[in-house]
Amino acid sequence: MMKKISDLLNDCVFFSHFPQEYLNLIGGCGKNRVVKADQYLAHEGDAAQAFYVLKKGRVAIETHMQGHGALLVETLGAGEIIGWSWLVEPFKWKFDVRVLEQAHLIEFDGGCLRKKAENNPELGYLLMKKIALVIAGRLSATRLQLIDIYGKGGH
Amino acid sequence: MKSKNSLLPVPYRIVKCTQETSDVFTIELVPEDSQQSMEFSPGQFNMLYQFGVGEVPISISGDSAKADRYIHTIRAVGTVTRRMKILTEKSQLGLRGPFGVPWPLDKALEKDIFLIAGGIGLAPLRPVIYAYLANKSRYGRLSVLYGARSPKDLVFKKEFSQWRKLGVELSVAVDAAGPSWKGHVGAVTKLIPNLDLDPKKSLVMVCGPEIMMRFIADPLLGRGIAERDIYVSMERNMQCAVGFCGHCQYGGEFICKDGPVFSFDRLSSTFLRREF
Repeated sequence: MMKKISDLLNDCVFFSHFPQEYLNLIGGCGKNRVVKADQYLAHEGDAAQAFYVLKKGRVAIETHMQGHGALLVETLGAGEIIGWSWLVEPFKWKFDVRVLEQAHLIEFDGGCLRKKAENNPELGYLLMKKIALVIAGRLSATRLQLIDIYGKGGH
Repeated sequence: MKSKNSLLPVPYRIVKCTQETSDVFTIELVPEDSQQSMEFSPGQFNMLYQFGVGEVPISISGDSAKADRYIHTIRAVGTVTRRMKILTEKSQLGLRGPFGVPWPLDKALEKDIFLIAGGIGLAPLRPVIYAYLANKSRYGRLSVLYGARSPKDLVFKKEFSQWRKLGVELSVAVDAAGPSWKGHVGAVTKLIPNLDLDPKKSLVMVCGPEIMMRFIADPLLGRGIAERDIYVSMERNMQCAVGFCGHCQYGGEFICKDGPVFSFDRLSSTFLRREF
């Protein structure tokens, strides 16, 4: 028997502290999706209407540079979430998202999630806190990446 | 037989040189006196003396079960190590050691081991991988998270597939890569939140630039790992290696003799002190 989306969310680290009633609410905005390698989940500048949980596979966050083509910024793997632009105005993707290895995803309708969050501030706050944690983690990792420290010093 | 005087270098001969990356190389050393003992524990270091130039502390990157030679992996960053890079087989070096507190493999028994390395920080952790593979039944899983600037800066690449075949869970992340790279792109810290780990039965060993270790502490503590279960290998200006000279003093500790491996709870109050 196919698992319900809310049950699948129980296996996801991102939703680990969400009460079951909220998982049921959020699950109503989600559906399973499989995307083949080399297809795009998002293009920079497009309306950000989706939010993804990557169950299996690997995706690349890329940007396009004139004269250089696609530049790989980072990769995301199983268990990670894809996209926060659906929650932050003006709700547009900031980067391209390309599938590197066939991706098994839970795709959420960002508009549906926002509506439920607005109607239920407690859920909205919890969701915001978790997304902020992801953004903070990525900001911290990006700073480390920018410092480019691995090569300095020695043993 | 070990030298009776810990401050007196003993002559060793290079028997093999391997270029790991553009600025990292590995040398294998045997003593001129075949009676010389070469026992060491994973995480310890030797003082290598380039005659007429100077002496540097270098972690041992070889297998502690094979006590017929010392293996050192070195980045050419200063006067001494740049001179060492141009040495060839049969060249001589002076060697004192081994020194320092090793990785706590005894505390890792029956636990899952997580190694987190940045750049050449994989060198002092490689002996832990060898020790684990030689005694797998005594430990749980071994997971290695390794970060480097780019694919061409990865050390010990040739061993990766063998380690994976033998059951090591190896994840490699680089800061920047072209389309041919099939691994992760991003900081090594990003691999921590989704690690499959049970904080109560895990032990973490971290080695890399100190700034990387600072960034790694938060996500590890966030996953419920206790400070006492995180071990870091510290680096300072070590000169005598036996706690006499004071060059490597770090608060109340001497990195050379009280470390270089410390549990994080011993350092957490001083880790962000800029004076240290």
